[in-house]
Amino acid sequence: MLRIRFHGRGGQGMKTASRILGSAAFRAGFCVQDSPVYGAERRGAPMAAFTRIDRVQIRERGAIVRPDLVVVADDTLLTDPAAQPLAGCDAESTVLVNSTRDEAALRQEVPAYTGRLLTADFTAVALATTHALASLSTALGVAAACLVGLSLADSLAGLDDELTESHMSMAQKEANRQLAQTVYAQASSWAPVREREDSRIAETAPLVEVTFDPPRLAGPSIYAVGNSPQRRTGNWRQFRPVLQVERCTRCWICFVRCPEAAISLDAQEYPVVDYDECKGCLLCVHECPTHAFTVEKEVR
Amino acid sequence: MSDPTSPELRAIKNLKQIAREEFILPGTAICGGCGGLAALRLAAKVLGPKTVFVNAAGCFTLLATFPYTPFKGSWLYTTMASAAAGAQGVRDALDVLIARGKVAAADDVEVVVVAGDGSTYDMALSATSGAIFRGLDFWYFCYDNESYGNTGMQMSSATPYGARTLTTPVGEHARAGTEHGKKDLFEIWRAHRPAYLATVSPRFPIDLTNKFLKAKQLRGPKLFIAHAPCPTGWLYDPELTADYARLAVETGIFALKEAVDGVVTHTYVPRRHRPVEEYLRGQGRYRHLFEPVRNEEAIHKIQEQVDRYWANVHETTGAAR
Repeated sequence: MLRIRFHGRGGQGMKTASRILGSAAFRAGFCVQDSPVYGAERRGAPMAAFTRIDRVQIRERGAIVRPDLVVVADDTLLTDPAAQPLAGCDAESTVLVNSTRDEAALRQEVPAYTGRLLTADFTAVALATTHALASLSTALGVAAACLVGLSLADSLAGLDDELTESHMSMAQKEANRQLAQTVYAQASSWAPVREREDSRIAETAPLVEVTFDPPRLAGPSIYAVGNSPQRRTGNWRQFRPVLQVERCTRCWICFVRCPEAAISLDAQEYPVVDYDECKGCLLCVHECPTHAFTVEKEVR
Repeated sequence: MSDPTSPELRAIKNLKQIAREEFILPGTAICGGCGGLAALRLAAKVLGPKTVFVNAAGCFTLLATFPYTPFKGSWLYTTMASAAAGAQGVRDALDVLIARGKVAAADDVEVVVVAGDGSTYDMALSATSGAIFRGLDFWYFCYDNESYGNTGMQMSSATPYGARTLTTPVGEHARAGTEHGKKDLFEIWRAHRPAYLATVSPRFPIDLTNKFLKAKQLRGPKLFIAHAPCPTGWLYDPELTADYARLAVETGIFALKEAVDGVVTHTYVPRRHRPVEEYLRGQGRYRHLFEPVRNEEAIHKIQEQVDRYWANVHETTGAAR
């Protein structure tokens, strides 16, 4: 059995990537299982999805504890305590990271990880082909399909199964097929992920001991006030709005329309973007009457 | 109820009169570009820090998730059907504590229900009806994203005709997606004769602010339906939230209005309405009306509903076009 875990942020399409891989493996005649982690995931919030592929019926359920392949849509997740994409990885694992940085730079962030680490800038490839960030699902789903040794034909068939269900325009669907071929060619240079010798042995996640505590301790009551900025949603951002002060007329429009309260006004009434919190919705960029904001791709 | 003669409650005329202080801080797990949050943030600037938000389960569950809260005031979480009942409990408790001298009258807070359309239009209709009927002194803020957005965009009775949702997919027998029309909650609530009732849009911040300022001078049920464009569920890029909020008003699909003691006033009447198509086109939930074949009948039907609504407005108010 091969166990593949996808980590992304809500909206990056890792649920779909997991489905593309699952459908591709199913088209190739394997038994497949795929499931995303459902919870309070939102655009930008860390989420995960799991795919299992085997020649026989899969009876294992739940989260994947010891993955053979981990696909990470966004390198800021590598050190995110809420995401923990490398949890359960060992020397036999392969981790594929969508990043603008090279392997050495990423390894510095995760020194404890000893397995194979692959990296490529799939976002750039996706944007160049489809001009849509959401097509990262196609790129990483097909890259994973290639890495587990599925053929290009099966990968494209799996992609088509998912595209049929989507709300995309015909032109977008075609662009996604183009993207799949480009990514598959790129991923073919990597050696495929091998099945572990003991891969059929069922995974067991350690049980959590539940202790009884009085409601005041055990209940999720919040006694703090206004502490949400500590969550730092700034790392949700794919693109960053940057103010070009000379073009700003101090009209207040970006400040008033920012849904997040991530823009404040300084003493001279110029807007100040709080990059620790800004989720990168880019509403300010779109709404600014003098086009005083430019957009920069986040490179962290 | 605040002192109606207070200068702070005077209607504002321009954007720069909007409060700079924030009462809903950033860092929530709400989606980027959320129209509902944009509206609530502006409303909270009028409500101020002395509030207790009574939050029905829904997208805004994610405002305060342990151990973080964006509020400077208090927050109480309820089931989808019972936020207004929760508000009654909080209001009564405050009244009793103030009467007994255990809470100073100066420390009194505004009780504000925050609920989505799934809660408001469907499950909580009865509890809210009861609270309005009893004349409860509270606020009700409904962020209407026209679906059960928190669970992945299933149809609610606020979903408009022609929108595709997870539970109203497009097919041979349902070419428009949702075949039902949106429930007219404004009229249902208005029939209760609440002290104040209004629709608001995050893209019309002065109108929104003035409606909250006006309501602040009144005692009794103060009810708001906020148009809440939803990039995640309506399938468009988050940066376009304000655009769709504007187009909903400019096409006449979302009417900005208020009702004081049941008397309706339209607070913004566009001189000429844009064709509804400008609002529909571009939203993924309406894509099937344009691709692969144009569904003339459905688009026409939506336009006709809007035209009929406004013809009726002009007829009853005698307002000139």
